[in-house]
Amino acid sequence: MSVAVARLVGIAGLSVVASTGSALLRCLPWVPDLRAVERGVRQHDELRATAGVTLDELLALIDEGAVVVDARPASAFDERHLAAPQTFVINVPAAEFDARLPQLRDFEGCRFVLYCSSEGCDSSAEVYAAMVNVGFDSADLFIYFPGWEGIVEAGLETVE
Amino acid sequence: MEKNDLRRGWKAAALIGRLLVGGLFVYAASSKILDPMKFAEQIRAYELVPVILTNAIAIVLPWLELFAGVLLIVGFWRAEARLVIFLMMLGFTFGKVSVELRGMDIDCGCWGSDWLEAVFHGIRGILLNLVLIGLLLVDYFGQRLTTPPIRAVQPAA
Repeated sequence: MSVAVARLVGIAGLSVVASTGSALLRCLPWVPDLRAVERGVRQHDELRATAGVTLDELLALIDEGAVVVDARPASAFDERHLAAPQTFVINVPAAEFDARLPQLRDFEGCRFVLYCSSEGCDSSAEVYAAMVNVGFDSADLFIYFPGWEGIVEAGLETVE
Repeated sequence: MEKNDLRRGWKAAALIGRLLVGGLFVYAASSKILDPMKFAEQIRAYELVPVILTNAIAIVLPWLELFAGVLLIVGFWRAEARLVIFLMMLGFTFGKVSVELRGMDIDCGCWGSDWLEAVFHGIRGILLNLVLIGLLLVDYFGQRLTTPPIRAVQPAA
Protein backbone atom coordinates (compact mmCIF):
# COMPACT_ATOMS: atom_id res chain seq x y z
CA MET A 1 0.00 0.00 0.00
CA SER A 2 2.76 2.42 0.94
CA VAL A 3 4.57 1.54 -2.31
CA ALA A 4 1.44 2.47 -4.27
CA VAL A 5 1.12 5.79 -2.42
CA ALA A 6 4.79 6.54 -3.05
CA ARG A 7 4.31 5.84 -6.76
CA LEU A 8 1.23 8.09 -6.91
CA VAL A 9 3.21 10.86 -5.23
CA GLY A 10 6.00 10.15 -7.73
CA ILE A 11 3.68 10.61 -10.74
CA ALA A 12 2.23 13.81 -9.26
CA GLY A 13 5.68 15.12 -8.31
CA LEU A 14 7.08 14.40 -11.76
CA SER A 15 4.17 16.30 -13.33
CA VAL A 16 4.64 19.29 -11.03
CA VAL A 17 8.40 19.43 -11.71
CA ALA A 18 7.97 19.12 -15.49
CA SER A 19 5.14 21.66 -15.64
CA THR A 20 7.01 24.12 -13.42
CA GLY A 21 10.08 23.81 -15.66
CA SER A 22 7.97 24.29 -18.77
CA ALA A 23 6.18 27.31 -17.25
CA LEU A 24 9.48 28.90 -16.23
CA LEU A 25 11.06 28.35 -19.64
CA ARG A 26 8.07 29.82 -21.45
CA CYS A 27 7.31 32.53 -18.84
CA LEU A 28 3.74 31.25 -18.43
CA PRO A 29 1.67 33.13 -15.81
CA TRP A 30 0.48 30.86 -12.97
CA VAL A 31 -2.33 33.27 -12.13
CA PRO A 32 -4.58 34.71 -14.85
CA ASP A 33 -4.93 38.45 -15.35
CA LEU A 34 -8.19 38.83 -13.43
CA ARG A 35 -8.84 42.26 -14.91
CA ALA A 36 -8.61 40.85 -18.45
CA VAL A 37 -10.98 38.04 -17.51
CA GLU A 38 -13.43 40.57 -16.03
CA ARG A 39 -13.05 42.73 -19.13
CA GLY A 40 -14.03 39.70 -21.23
CA VAL A 41 -17.16 39.16 -19.14
CA ARG A 42 -18.02 42.87 -19.41
CA GLN A 43 -17.52 42.78 -23.19
CA HIS A 44 -19.93 39.83 -23.35
CA ASP A 45 -22.54 41.83 -21.39
CA GLU A 46 -22.02 44.82 -23.67
CA LEU A 47 -22.42 42.61 -26.74
CA ARG A 48 -25.65 41.30 -25.29
CA ALA A 49 -26.91 44.87 -24.89
CA THR A 50 -25.84 46.10 -28.35
CA ALA A 51 -26.30 43.06 -30.62
CA GLY A 52 -28.78 40.87 -28.74
CA VAL A 53 -32.24 40.49 -30.26
CA THR A 54 -35.53 39.20 -28.85
CA LEU A 55 -37.62 36.49 -30.48
CA ASP A 56 -39.84 39.09 -32.19
CA GLU A 57 -36.78 40.94 -33.47
CA LEU A 58 -35.32 37.66 -34.73
CA LEU A 59 -38.50 36.93 -36.69
CA ALA A 60 -38.59 40.48 -38.07
CA LEU A 61 -34.95 40.21 -39.19
CA ILE A 62 -35.66 36.90 -40.93
CA ASP A 63 -38.69 38.43 -42.68
CA GLU A 64 -36.46 41.27 -43.86
CA GLY A 65 -34.08 38.69 -45.38
CA ALA A 66 -31.26 38.71 -42.83
CA VAL A 67 -28.98 35.70 -43.29
CA VAL A 68 -29.25 33.26 -40.38
CA VAL A 69 -25.90 31.95 -39.13
CA ASP A 70 -26.03 28.79 -37.02
CA ALA A 71 -22.74 28.78 -35.06
CA ARG A 72 -23.20 25.30 -33.56
CA PRO A 73 -20.96 22.39 -34.61
CA ALA A 74 -21.74 20.91 -38.03
CA SER A 75 -23.05 17.70 -36.47
CA ALA A 76 -25.70 19.64 -34.49
CA PHE A 77 -26.62 21.72 -37.56
CA ASP A 78 -26.97 18.60 -39.73
CA GLU A 79 -29.19 17.00 -37.11
CA ARG A 80 -31.64 19.92 -37.13
CA HIS A 81 -31.59 23.69 -37.61
CA LEU A 82 -33.90 26.67 -37.98
CA ALA A 83 -36.06 26.68 -41.10
CA ALA A 84 -36.33 30.08 -42.77
CA PRO A 85 -37.60 29.67 -46.37
CA GLN A 86 -37.61 33.45 -46.93
CA THR A 87 -33.82 33.69 -46.41
CA PHE A 88 -30.61 31.65 -46.14
CA VAL A 89 -29.59 29.58 -43.12
CA ILE A 90 -25.88 28.73 -43.10
CA ASN A 91 -23.68 26.83 -40.68
CA VAL A 92 -20.52 28.60 -39.48
CA PRO A 93 -19.10 26.76 -36.44
CA ALA A 94 -16.73 29.04 -34.52
CA ALA A 95 -13.90 26.49 -34.83
CA GLU A 96 -14.26 26.40 -38.63
CA PHE A 97 -14.63 30.15 -39.20
CA ASP A 98 -11.71 30.51 -41.63
CA ALA A 99 -12.92 27.64 -43.81
CA ARG A 100 -16.49 29.03 -43.90
CA LEU A 101 -15.50 32.66 -44.50
CA PRO A 102 -15.92 32.49 -48.33
CA GLN A 103 -19.52 31.40 -47.76
CA LEU A 104 -20.09 34.45 -45.52
CA ARG A 105 -18.40 36.72 -48.07
CA ASP A 106 -21.11 35.74 -50.61
CA PHE A 107 -23.57 37.65 -48.41
CA GLU A 108 -21.39 40.70 -47.70
CA GLY A 109 -23.56 43.80 -47.22
CA CYS A 110 -26.47 41.75 -45.86
CA ARG A 111 -27.63 41.70 -42.26
CA PHE A 112 -26.82 38.57 -40.26
CA VAL A 113 -28.47 37.07 -37.23
CA LEU A 114 -26.41 34.49 -35.32
CA TYR A 115 -27.32 31.84 -32.82
CA CYS A 116 -25.67 28.90 -31.03
CA SER A 117 -26.99 26.27 -28.62
CA SER A 118 -28.33 28.17 -25.63
CA GLU A 119 -27.90 31.16 -23.32
CA GLY A 120 -24.67 29.66 -21.99
CA CYS A 121 -22.95 29.17 -25.36
CA ASP A 122 -20.11 31.33 -26.72
CA SER A 123 -19.90 30.24 -30.36
CA SER A 124 -22.21 32.96 -31.73
CA ALA A 125 -20.23 35.68 -29.89
CA GLU A 126 -16.99 34.15 -31.22
CA VAL A 127 -18.29 34.14 -34.81
CA TYR A 128 -19.56 37.73 -34.29
CA ALA A 129 -16.09 38.86 -33.15
CA ALA A 130 -14.40 36.99 -36.01
CA MET A 131 -16.76 38.59 -38.56
CA VAL A 132 -16.08 42.08 -37.18
CA ASN A 133 -12.34 41.30 -37.32
CA VAL A 134 -12.48 40.50 -41.03
CA GLY A 135 -14.43 43.66 -41.88
CA PHE A 136 -18.14 42.92 -41.51
CA ASP A 137 -20.03 45.94 -40.13
CA SER A 138 -21.05 45.29 -36.52
CA ALA A 139 -24.22 47.33 -37.14
CA ASP A 140 -25.38 44.53 -39.48
CA LEU A 141 -24.70 41.72 -36.99
CA PHE A 142 -27.21 40.48 -34.43
CA ILE A 143 -27.25 37.60 -31.99
CA TYR A 144 -30.23 35.66 -30.74
CA PHE A 145 -28.79 34.71 -27.34
CA PRO A 146 -31.40 32.11 -26.27
CA GLY A 147 -30.02 30.14 -29.24
CA TRP A 148 -31.25 26.79 -30.48
CA GLU A 149 -32.87 26.06 -27.12
CA GLY A 150 -34.90 29.29 -27.42
CA ILE A 151 -35.83 28.46 -31.02
CA VAL A 152 -37.14 25.02 -30.03
CA GLU A 153 -38.95 26.39 -26.95
CA ALA A 154 -40.62 29.09 -29.07
CA GLY A 155 -41.86 26.35 -31.43
CA LEU A 156 -40.24 27.85 -34.54
CA GLU A 157 -40.10 25.67 -37.62
CA THR A 158 -36.95 23.53 -37.88
CA VAL A 159 -35.59 21.21 -40.57
CA GLU A 160 -33.03 18.41 -40.86
CA MET B 1 -6.30 -25.22 -21.25
CA GLU B 2 -9.57 -23.25 -21.27
CA LYS B 3 -8.41 -21.29 -18.26
CA ASN B 4 -5.23 -20.39 -20.14
CA ASP B 5 -7.27 -19.19 -23.13
CA LEU B 6 -9.38 -17.05 -20.82
CA ARG B 7 -6.26 -15.56 -19.24
CA ARG B 8 -4.78 -14.84 -22.67
CA GLY B 9 -8.08 -13.17 -23.70
CA TRP B 10 -8.09 -10.92 -20.64
CA LYS B 11 -4.43 -10.10 -21.16
CA ALA B 12 -5.06 -9.07 -24.79
CA ALA B 13 -8.17 -7.06 -23.90
CA ALA B 14 -6.29 -5.29 -21.11
CA LEU B 15 -3.40 -4.50 -23.46
CA ILE B 16 -5.73 -3.03 -26.10
CA GLY B 17 -7.61 -1.07 -23.43
CA ARG B 18 -4.54 0.48 -21.91
CA LEU B 19 -2.95 1.27 -25.27
CA LEU B 20 -6.13 3.06 -26.39
CA VAL B 21 -6.64 5.04 -23.18
CA GLY B 22 -2.94 5.79 -22.70
CA GLY B 23 -2.56 6.78 -26.37
CA LEU B 24 -5.53 9.14 -26.21
CA PHE B 25 -4.19 10.73 -23.03
CA VAL B 26 -0.73 11.27 -24.52
CA TYR B 27 -2.27 12.77 -27.68
CA ALA B 28 -4.62 15.04 -25.71
CA ALA B 29 -1.87 16.13 -23.33
CA SER B 30 0.61 17.08 -26.04
CA SER B 31 -1.61 19.72 -27.65
CA LYS B 32 -2.54 21.17 -24.25
CA ILE B 33 1.12 21.35 -23.22
CA LEU B 34 1.82 23.32 -26.41
CA ASP B 35 -0.92 25.87 -25.67
CA PRO B 36 -1.77 25.86 -21.95
CA MET B 37 -3.29 29.36 -21.98
CA LYS B 38 -5.92 28.29 -24.50
CA PHE B 39 -6.64 25.32 -22.23
CA ALA B 40 -6.94 27.75 -19.26
CA GLU B 41 -9.61 29.69 -21.15
CA GLN B 42 -11.47 26.46 -21.85
CA ILE B 43 -11.33 25.54 -18.14
CA ARG B 44 -12.72 29.00 -17.24
CA ALA B 45 -15.65 28.42 -19.61
CA TYR B 46 -16.80 25.49 -17.41
CA GLU B 47 -17.29 27.92 -14.48
CA LEU B 48 -16.49 25.09 -12.05
CA VAL B 49 -13.21 26.19 -10.48
CA PRO B 50 -12.12 29.61 -9.15
CA VAL B 51 -10.70 31.73 -12.00
CA ILE B 52 -7.51 32.31 -10.03
CA LEU B 53 -6.65 28.57 -10.17
CA THR B 54 -7.34 28.03 -13.88
CA ASN B 55 -3.85 28.83 -15.22
CA ALA B 56 -2.15 26.59 -12.65
CA ILE B 57 -4.51 23.71 -13.50
CA ALA B 58 -3.93 24.28 -17.23
CA ILE B 59 -0.16 24.19 -16.73
CA VAL B 60 0.05 21.09 -14.47
CA LEU B 61 -2.85 18.87 -15.59
CA PRO B 62 -1.59 18.12 -19.16
CA TRP B 63 1.76 16.92 -17.75
CA LEU B 64 -0.09 14.63 -15.34
CA GLU B 65 -2.06 13.30 -18.32
CA LEU B 66 1.15 12.82 -20.29
CA PHE B 67 3.07 10.93 -17.58
CA ALA B 68 0.09 8.80 -16.58
CA GLY B 69 -0.62 8.03 -20.25
CA VAL B 70 2.99 7.03 -21.00
CA LEU B 71 3.22 4.88 -17.85
CA LEU B 72 -0.04 3.12 -18.72
CA ILE B 73 1.18 2.39 -22.26
CA VAL B 74 4.53 0.97 -21.18
CA GLY B 75 2.95 -0.86 -18.23
CA PHE B 76 5.32 0.60 -15.64
CA TRP B 77 3.60 1.58 -12.36
CA ARG B 78 0.56 0.42 -14.29
CA ALA B 79 -1.97 0.24 -11.43
CA GLU B 80 -1.03 3.69 -10.15
CA ALA B 81 -1.09 5.27 -13.63
CA ARG B 82 -4.49 3.67 -14.22
CA LEU B 83 -5.79 5.08 -10.92
CA VAL B 84 -4.58 8.58 -11.80
CA ILE B 85 -6.26 8.40 -15.21
CA PHE B 86 -9.41 6.94 -13.67
CA LEU B 87 -9.67 9.84 -11.20
CA MET B 88 -9.07 12.36 -13.99
CA MET B 89 -11.75 10.67 -16.11
CA LEU B 90 -14.23 10.95 -13.22
CA GLY B 91 -13.45 14.67 -12.90
CA PHE B 92 -13.73 15.28 -16.67
CA THR B 93 -17.00 13.37 -16.86
CA PHE B 94 -18.42 15.35 -13.94
CA GLY B 95 -17.47 18.57 -15.75
CA LYS B 96 -19.10 17.45 -18.98
CA VAL B 97 -22.30 16.29 -17.29
CA SER B 98 -22.57 19.58 -15.39
CA VAL B 99 -22.13 21.51 -18.66
CA GLU B 100 -24.90 19.47 -20.31
CA LEU B 101 -27.22 19.95 -17.30
CA ARG B 102 -26.63 23.72 -17.39
CA GLY B 103 -27.38 23.80 -21.14
CA MET B 104 -24.00 25.30 -21.95
CA ASP B 105 -22.34 24.95 -25.34
CA ILE B 106 -18.61 25.25 -24.79
CA ASP B 107 -15.47 23.72 -26.23
CA CYS B 108 -14.67 20.58 -24.28
CA GLY B 109 -10.97 21.45 -24.13
CA CYS B 110 -10.30 17.73 -24.06
CA TRP B 111 -8.51 16.79 -27.26
CA GLY B 112 -6.86 19.88 -28.66
CA SER B 113 -8.02 18.92 -32.14
CA ASP B 114 -11.00 20.76 -33.67
CA TRP B 115 -12.05 17.60 -35.49
CA LEU B 116 -12.09 15.42 -32.37
CA GLU B 117 -13.75 18.22 -30.35
CA ALA B 118 -16.55 18.34 -32.94
CA VAL B 119 -16.95 14.54 -33.13
CA PHE B 120 -17.10 14.16 -29.34
CA HIS B 121 -19.16 17.28 -28.63
CA GLY B 122 -21.75 17.25 -25.84
CA ILE B 123 -23.39 13.96 -24.97
CA ARG B 124 -21.07 12.01 -27.33
CA GLY B 125 -18.13 13.19 -25.22
CA ILE B 126 -19.79 11.82 -22.08
CA LEU B 127 -20.35 8.49 -23.83
CA LEU B 128 -16.70 8.40 -24.93
CA ASN B 129 -15.62 9.01 -21.32
CA LEU B 130 -17.79 6.12 -20.15
CA VAL B 131 -16.19 3.88 -22.80
CA LEU B 132 -12.71 4.94 -21.64
CA ILE B 133 -13.64 4.26 -18.01
CA GLY B 134 -14.88 0.84 -19.16
CA LEU B 135 -11.52 0.18 -20.86
CA LEU B 136 -9.73 1.11 -17.61
CA LEU B 137 -11.88 -1.43 -15.77
CA VAL B 138 -11.00 -4.05 -18.41
CA ASP B 139 -7.32 -3.33 -17.76
CA TYR B 140 -7.89 -3.52 -14.00
CA PHE B 141 -9.56 -6.94 -14.17
CA GLY B 142 -7.13 -8.06 -16.88
CA GLN B 143 -4.21 -7.32 -14.58
CA ARG B 144 -5.87 -8.93 -11.56
CA LEU B 145 -6.83 -12.11 -13.39
CA THR B 146 -3.52 -12.60 -15.17
CA THR B 147 -1.13 -11.74 -12.34
CA PRO B 148 -0.23 -14.87 -10.36
CA PRO B 149 -0.97 -14.52 -6.64
CA ILE B 150 2.03 -14.02 -4.39
CA ARG B 151 2.49 -17.15 -2.31
CA ALA B 152 3.99 -17.02 1.14
CA VAL B 153 7.31 -18.83 1.19
CA GLN B 154 7.47 -21.57 3.77
CA PRO B 155 10.52 -21.24 5.94
CA ALA B 156 12.89 -24.14 5.58
CA ALA B 157 12.50 -26.68 8.35
